[in-house]
Amino acid sequence: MAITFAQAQNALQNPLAFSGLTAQQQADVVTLLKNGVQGFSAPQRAFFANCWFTPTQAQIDAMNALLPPQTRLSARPIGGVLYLCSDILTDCMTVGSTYHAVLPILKDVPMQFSTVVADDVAAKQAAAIAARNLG
Amino acid sequence: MRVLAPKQFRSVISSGYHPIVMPAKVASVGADPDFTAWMAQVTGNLGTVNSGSQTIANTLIAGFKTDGTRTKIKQFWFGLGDFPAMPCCLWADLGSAILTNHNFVSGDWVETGSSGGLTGNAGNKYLDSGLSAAALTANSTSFGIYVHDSTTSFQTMGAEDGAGIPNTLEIHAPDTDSKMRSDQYDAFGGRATSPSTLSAPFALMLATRDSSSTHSMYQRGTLLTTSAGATGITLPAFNLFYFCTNQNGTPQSFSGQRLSCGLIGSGLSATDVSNIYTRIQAAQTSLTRNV
Repeated sequence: MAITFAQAQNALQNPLAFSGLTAQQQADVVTLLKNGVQGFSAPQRAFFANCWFTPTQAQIDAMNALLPPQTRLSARPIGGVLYLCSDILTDCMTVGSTYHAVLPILKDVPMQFSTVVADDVAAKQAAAIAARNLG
Repeated sequence: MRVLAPKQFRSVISSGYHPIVMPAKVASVGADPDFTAWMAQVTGNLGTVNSGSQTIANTLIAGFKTDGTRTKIKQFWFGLGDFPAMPCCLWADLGSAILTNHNFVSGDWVETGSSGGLTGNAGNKYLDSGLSAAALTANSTSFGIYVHDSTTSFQTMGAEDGAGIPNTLEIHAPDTDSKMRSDQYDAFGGRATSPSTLSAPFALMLATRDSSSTHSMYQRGTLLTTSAGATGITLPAFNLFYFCTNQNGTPQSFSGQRLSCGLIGSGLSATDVSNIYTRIQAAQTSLTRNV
């Protein structure tokens, strides 16, 4: 059975690995993420913009070893945790798509809804503005 | 014999079918050498550009050469084609011929129309020019971007080093107060700030230093302000980034803006900037993504 936005929203309140989903659910999550980029309501887009993978640096390194040099995955470090945007999945599922090569690793990386990155962006911007105003 | 385009090849490569791959059709009559080199990068990156966009690229390159600005711009990124083609620079005398994509996905890119451009996420997506600011000539630098939207929350791009008052080549386009700022080459003493707030959408925002004492900033080819700026500051030895700034080797201050073009080069005169804006705006109009 296809999952709804609400079900995905509920599931992603806790870390889950893509590999833990059924094939149908995996397809649905990818569709939801694509629609998160284009076509969803503002709150829904905001929700998926706040869904993040939390890979280890070893996983990031392993995935980059599988990508061509002009394509890199780079996560944002916050408090010792690395955050990688979840819409990477939208270019993973088809052979030949940009990040397809990393799917065997990415599917086991935990994914979760979190506002940690958004909060960090806001804090960094505030700090930068403060520094600018001192100049 | 069935002949497949590169994208088709990718879709069947695992099926056991063995096609012959032909490069994308390239305009040959009157094609500029820069155009031909760009198409080779596109094809090598498994990208596709339709014939209309190829013509736009060729015209744009020829226009820069007619104006005498081609040699002044050391790396020129103008996004065209599909997602794999998008990061290929029309030319790159310095830096990477293909900008290194960090975390962007195909859904972030729209080639044409009112939603055209590449959209950042203000979190971890950026493009690395592969061009260290230190490779440029001090007191003869330029850095510009074409902005499609009206996002105003501290959009900082470029590179800076160290702590305290860093050596910097950055553009804040725009800043939180809807003003544009440029740092070439120290963040505070040499800063140029637009005297008033700017109207969105912002289009081409470009800053240049064409002498030790002339640091100018332009929007849509029109001069906003000139700052004498501080001298004796070195260029940071870090790659310039789009969609964020390279702060001492670490990407910081990510942007959620929508961009389609960036340029890095040597010092430009007011006439150069006007000509560059006219050429870029014409190309954007042809793609119906002009603002």
